[in-house]
Amino acid sequence: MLTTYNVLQDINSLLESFIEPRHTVHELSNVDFEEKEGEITVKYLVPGAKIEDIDIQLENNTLKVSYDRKNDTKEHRYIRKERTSNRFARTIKLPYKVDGDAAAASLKEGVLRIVLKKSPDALPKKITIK
Amino acid sequence: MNKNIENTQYNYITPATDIYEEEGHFVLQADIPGVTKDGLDVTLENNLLEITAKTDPELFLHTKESENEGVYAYRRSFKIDRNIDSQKISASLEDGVLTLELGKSEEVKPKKIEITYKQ
Repeated sequence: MLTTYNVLQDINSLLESFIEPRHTVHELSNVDFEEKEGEITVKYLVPGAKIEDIDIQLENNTLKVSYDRKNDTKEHRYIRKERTSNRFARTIKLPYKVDGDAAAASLKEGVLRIVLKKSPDALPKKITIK
Repeated sequence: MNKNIENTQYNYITPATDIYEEEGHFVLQADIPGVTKDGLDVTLENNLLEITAKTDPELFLHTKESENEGVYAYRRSFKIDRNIDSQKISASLEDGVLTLELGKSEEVKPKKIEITYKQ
């Protein structure tokens, strides 16, 4: 087909020159780490991921997350192909030991969220003088 | 609609997008993780297909910073040509991926021409 190339013409670059300066295009990292009062929240952007595509391992104070979008192997007649994030493996060194039993993970709208709590072992202890 | 909408600062992100062709239609898929159905807006006006997807600050990354930085929103526009029938566009959102099905115009669909055999 001769005309497919322009069937959906990307005009973002054209638009960018007209929009107000406060609007900027951000290049974002797809991981976010936040620590607050003994609770760690790690978020990953995993668009298209199903629960079975994700593997989370917690070992000592290392968090390993790997992701492989298995069901996305079908070949298409692409006019434009930009989406690439169908697999990754990341290891994060945690700042302290966490409680494995209190770890929780959720997946919603392509965002994986892992919440970890500081292990009681890592909490400061008051030592009484006898 | 939020009456303070004019004061909300948006940081726009260009979503990675795939477009492919199938038998009777084109498929557009855009990665918009962190957006719920409520934040999604797809409009078609004068052959301009515009996708605006505001992220849910609770769900998306950089929650702490967004108080100062504003809300992250995906935005991308495409100009559609006569190959697409603007009446035949459907949208769905699943696992942070927006899928648009854009039906081909009748005029560009392949037509089978019947041949009359004359003896």
